[in-house]
Amino acid sequence: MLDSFTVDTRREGPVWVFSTHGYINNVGGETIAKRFEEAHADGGSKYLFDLGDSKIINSIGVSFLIEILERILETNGTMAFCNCAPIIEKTFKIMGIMQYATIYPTVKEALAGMREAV
Amino acid sequence: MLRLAPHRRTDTMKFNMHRLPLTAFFIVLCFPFPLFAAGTIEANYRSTMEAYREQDWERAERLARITLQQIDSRNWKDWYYTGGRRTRMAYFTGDLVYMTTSEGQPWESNKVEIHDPLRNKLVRVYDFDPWLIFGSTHTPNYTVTFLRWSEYIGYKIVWFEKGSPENERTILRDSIEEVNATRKEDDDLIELYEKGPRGWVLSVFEPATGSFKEVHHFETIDISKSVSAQAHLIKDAEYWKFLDGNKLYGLNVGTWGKELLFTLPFEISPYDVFTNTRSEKLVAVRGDTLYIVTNAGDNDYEIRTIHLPYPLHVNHWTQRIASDDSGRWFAQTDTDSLRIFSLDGDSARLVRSASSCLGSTYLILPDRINTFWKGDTLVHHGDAGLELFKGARPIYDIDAGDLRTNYIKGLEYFLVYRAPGEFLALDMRDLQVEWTKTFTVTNLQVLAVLEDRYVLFDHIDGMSLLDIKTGEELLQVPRVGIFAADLNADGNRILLGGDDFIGVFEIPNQSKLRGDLIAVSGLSKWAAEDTSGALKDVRTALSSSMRLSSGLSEDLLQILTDLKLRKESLRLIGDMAIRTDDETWRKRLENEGMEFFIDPKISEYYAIFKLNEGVIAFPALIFAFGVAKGEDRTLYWFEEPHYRIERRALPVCGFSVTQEHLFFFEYKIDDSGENLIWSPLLFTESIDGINLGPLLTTKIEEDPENQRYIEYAIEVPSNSYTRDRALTEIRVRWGGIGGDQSEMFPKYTAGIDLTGNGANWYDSMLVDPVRIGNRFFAHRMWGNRVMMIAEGSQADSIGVEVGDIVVSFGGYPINNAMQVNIIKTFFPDRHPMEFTVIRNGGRLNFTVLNGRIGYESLPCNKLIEIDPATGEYLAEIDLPPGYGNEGLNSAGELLYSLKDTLMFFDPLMQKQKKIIIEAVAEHRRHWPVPAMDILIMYNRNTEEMVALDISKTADDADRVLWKETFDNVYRLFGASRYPYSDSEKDFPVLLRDGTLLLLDTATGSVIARETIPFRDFGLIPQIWNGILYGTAAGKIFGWKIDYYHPPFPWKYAGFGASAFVPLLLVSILLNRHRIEKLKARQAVELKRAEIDAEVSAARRLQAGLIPVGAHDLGAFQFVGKFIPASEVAGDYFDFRLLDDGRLVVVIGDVSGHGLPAGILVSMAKASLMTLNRNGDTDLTQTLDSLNEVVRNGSPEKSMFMTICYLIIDPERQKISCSANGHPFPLIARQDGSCSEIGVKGGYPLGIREKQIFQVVETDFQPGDTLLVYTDGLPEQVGPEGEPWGYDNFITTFCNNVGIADLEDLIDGIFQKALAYTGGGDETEDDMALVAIRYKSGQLRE
Repeated sequence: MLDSFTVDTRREGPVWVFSTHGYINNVGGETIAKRFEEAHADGGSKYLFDLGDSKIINSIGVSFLIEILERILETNGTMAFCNCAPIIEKTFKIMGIMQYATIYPTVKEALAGMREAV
Repeated sequence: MLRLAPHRRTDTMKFNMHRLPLTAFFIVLCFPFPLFAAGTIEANYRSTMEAYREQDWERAERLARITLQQIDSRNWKDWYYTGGRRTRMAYFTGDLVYMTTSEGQPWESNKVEIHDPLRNKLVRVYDFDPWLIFGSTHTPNYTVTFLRWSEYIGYKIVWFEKGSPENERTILRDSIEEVNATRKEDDDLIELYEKGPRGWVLSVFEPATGSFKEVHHFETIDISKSVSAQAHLIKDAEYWKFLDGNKLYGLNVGTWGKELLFTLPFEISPYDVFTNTRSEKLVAVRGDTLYIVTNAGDNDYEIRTIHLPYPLHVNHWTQRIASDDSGRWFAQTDTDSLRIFSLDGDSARLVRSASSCLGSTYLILPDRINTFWKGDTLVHHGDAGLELFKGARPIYDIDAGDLRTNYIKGLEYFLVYRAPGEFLALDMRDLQVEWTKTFTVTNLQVLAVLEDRYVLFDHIDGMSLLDIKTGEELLQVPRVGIFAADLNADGNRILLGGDDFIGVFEIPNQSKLRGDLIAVSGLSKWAAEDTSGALKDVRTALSSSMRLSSGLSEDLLQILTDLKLRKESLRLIGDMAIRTDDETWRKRLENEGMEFFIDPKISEYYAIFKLNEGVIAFPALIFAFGVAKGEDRTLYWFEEPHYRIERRALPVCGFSVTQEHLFFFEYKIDDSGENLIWSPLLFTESIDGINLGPLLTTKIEEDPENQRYIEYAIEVPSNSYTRDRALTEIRVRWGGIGGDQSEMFPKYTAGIDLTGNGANWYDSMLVDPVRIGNRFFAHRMWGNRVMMIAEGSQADSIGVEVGDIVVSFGGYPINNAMQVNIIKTFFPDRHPMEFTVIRNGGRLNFTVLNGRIGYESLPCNKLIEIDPATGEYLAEIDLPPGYGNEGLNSAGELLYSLKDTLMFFDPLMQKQKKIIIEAVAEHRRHWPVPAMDILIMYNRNTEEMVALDISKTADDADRVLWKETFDNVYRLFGASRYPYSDSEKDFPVLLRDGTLLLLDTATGSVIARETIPFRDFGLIPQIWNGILYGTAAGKIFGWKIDYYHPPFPWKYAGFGASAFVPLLLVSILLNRHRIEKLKARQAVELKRAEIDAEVSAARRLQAGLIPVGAHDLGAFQFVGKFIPASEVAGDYFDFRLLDDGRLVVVIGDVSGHGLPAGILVSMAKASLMTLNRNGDTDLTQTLDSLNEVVRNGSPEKSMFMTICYLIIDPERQKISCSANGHPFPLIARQDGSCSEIGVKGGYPLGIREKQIFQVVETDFQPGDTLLVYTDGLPEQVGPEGEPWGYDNFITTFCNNVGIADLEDLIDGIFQKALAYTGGGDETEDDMALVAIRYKSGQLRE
């Protein structure tokens, strides 16, 4: 049930959107990080992670996201999440990620919010 | 009044003909051959055996007598008493000494020597070899010896009148399976209880006429139950009384008429207790009824029936029952439990119950246990301890591990030896300790009691005469090998017998306890040989007048000192030291490069041979040992009083020890560089000195033409190289073939004798350890040996070292359920060897020192896993009582069974599985076939054999592979693996009706049969290297099981024509690809084992870091639990109670799990301990420091640690809390509210160099419950992939927080979380949970 993980990447204007599918564990985290690095190298400062198809994340998965968040903050970028399952949202809150990233209900709202952000 | 030492009398004897040791078998068969012309002896022997088989007893006896006469032709003219023989019994008439002796083991006595110490003369020697003496007794006018021959059922009586020992007479009693003999007190009659074809027969033997008179035939006693007739007899002046079935009969001694005296309401059992010391009494328990039958006089029997509050099971000989004389108290004890009942009328009330599970102080070995009432005092004692109860109230308790008690009945004293060397005397009349003293002795054995006050006792350092009332040691004779002290019937002469002399003291006036040494014998040889002059005048001095009294003569003291100098000059102490107080000896040893130290306690020298410098071994029963030291392997041999150096270039790299013999093993690669040759060398003493010769050789050759390997095994019966006795063999086979040494010698070696008493040698033993990862699991034990597995030893330094592992243990007749599981042993200095045993699910820690065992019990009914490499405790699991270990399957699951239940435990005991298999019910024997994952069980009652699939993945419904009925199975030969075969070639063998059956393990069908040409085939119940070994008619036979040529024909492999001829020559066919396959598999297993070892070490380390379980912290209850996802977890919690009463609680979760996470957890633990050491509990500072540790110390990049850190202040009733990356704590308050503590989350530790930690404070009052946890619980995933979630988790907690028991509460939460996953026991993430409840009051330290 938790054996495959994929990430779809697309660009919506200034925002890189990563749509994850599956359990965000070490494998998922690594995949996300790899895709992020590719996007980061390609230029960009706004990153949205659509976690609608990921029901759960573990601590290693979180560590990858925190690492990405740190990278983004280093370059004064913006990181946001959307479509988060309650447990993931709770996890982000616990992990302090909410202090530096925003959670939106949907992709649409996220894109709108992020476009407005400076 | 003088009293005889009871143990020195042989008033009764019991011998079971079925239990002949293998050693005895060999002795009997092989001994004659080296001494006589082979043709004559062998012809006689064959004819004798033929006669026995044909049951032509007359002819057999006649032929045996011819042999005996030949043996008796030895001439013992000029005797001297050298100590070379071993004395089993000595009987002193005051003039003559009758001794049964042997030159082998004491229990193999085959000679009767009659000495006249007053004339320094050996009067006569009867050498009964090959018959063995199993008992000897004396009537006023006759001495009677009972002999056995191990080959057939029957025994022989030899007797003679004391005045004319040369006129012995003989009677052969054939067809007798078992016999008990009782000497009557005052007349020349011997009572015999013989178990034969008609059952038990009570008869009287009259030596004067050589006639037997049958007194009674016990028709109703079921001899199959081996009920001892002796136990049923109650004697008084007029009657012999015996219980037959449920009837008590009296046999009138005068008329031999039988009278029915009483009918019991139950059948008699061997576990009922009869006493007739003061009043005739029978105590019996049947279910919940206690019966006490007493004789009120004139055979007026009264029976008292008492209802116990619940049924007691008294059905084993380890269990004892006893009631006091007043009928107020009743006790039932077992090896590990005690119950005391108060009796009132017909009811009983349990007033005390204790067991080793419940905190009783010690556990007593069953063969040493004794329980009796003295007045209203219950005495419960054994080698392991002494407990006294006044009624049910404990009043005295000694539970030292190495302890021995001796109850001196006549004096009503307990003489207690308590290590190290402390004695105390307990007066049983007032239950006061009269005195406590420290002696340098390490044992005690009461030899005689003199004048109701003086106790003569033997100990390992000699013999002492002690005033029991004061503890004053009146006389101490250093160890000169005292074997006996005896008084004559008139009580005016006392015999002291030693290895070196027999001395007779005459005590004309007992009241003054003064005596003169009137004779001494046996020192002439010493004096003649002694060149130092130390003993020059010993005999003269001993012959002079000396006083055995409190005022010892200076002469005697000097002589004893001299004796000590001589005999103590070279001594074996413990296992590996020699002691000397002789400067000359010390220098001689030093010149040989041996080290000394001085024991400050006794100011004597010890020589220590370091194991890493040489190979050392000690035959157990003689004061001698051998050492091979240095590069040239110079062989040293020490034996009192001799010291020999054999400068031989011994390529020795291993050793093994039997009772009196020493093997050196030589391992070397042959000229081809491919084959490894193992050549054990037998080193032993003989008449001409030291013999060193080949014992057994093996050779492995390649047969390229046929693409196979051939192993030749050529064995020579070990007793060929002994002068007069056989060996009990230790056989060790090595796995693997060819290749490097580590493969050839998988680190197993060495056996060492433990007990030295050898009373229960049944079978030779084979080491067959099972290795799972780096853990060993042992199966079973027999014999009296400890076998050792030396893990980590190299082939060139095999020996017993610190960290060695004992995998099998035997020697004490603890019931068969005893299983050995662990194990750790070491031999530094004289320290004891230690190992642990699982028995009936309970755990016993054993300590072995000087061949004795001390032990302590740990909680029963636990299956405990201990890392054999370190001896450290790993895990435990509850196990119902009575489960028996059945072995392991290939997945490393440990199998236990009880009736129809089979339980599987995985190697780490994280999981267990129970299945019900009807076919398993009440099995009696089992064969694990590990390679095939099959367990074969045989039920002797139903004669059904069942094969079970015990593989991990088997469907329970299909576990029974086959069931077959095999009637009349005489012996089961284990389906042990063939070393070089594939697993499918494992198969068991049965012996039934004189036919060997080879079974197909997979189907139960008979593959092949072999008719055994001998009815007595047996005694080597093993299959080695595809060869079934058996003994018959004095030879050892082997059948090769040629599994490469279906349908597995039996092949008669060879036989030993005589003791001098090589035993057998066999071949095992191998092909190369199988070997290569085996090697590859071994390499993988080795690598896996290394990894397992590392992980296991980390896991142990971590297990010690986390305070799992319930902790009572005064005002607070603390309960923690966690389940790791892998062997090493990343979750962590801890608490620390500060001096000011505050409680620090921390819980964390390192990203990921496994070894790196475990390492980080360990670092965090260490840091927290340091940070909090001085009560420095500033939260932000602590977390700041910890952040730095995690950030800089992570073993892997990107690791972090979540943490929730709380300080609970009971004085302010406040909690300060900071949670960083960690789930927020939950608090359920007394007012019914339940929620998260409002913490503002933050980054986990280790991510940012500088981090702001938010701290919140909230109330925490009596009745409140705090819960902290890791995310593994709410993130448990259900079958559909949905996580359980924080809401569900919080709701579960809040809804159940009213559960009174915190452990139940968190167990319930865990169960709920696991249930959500759909019942699977795998978990993706670690899970940890800590609950703290504020009870009331302040915290206490």
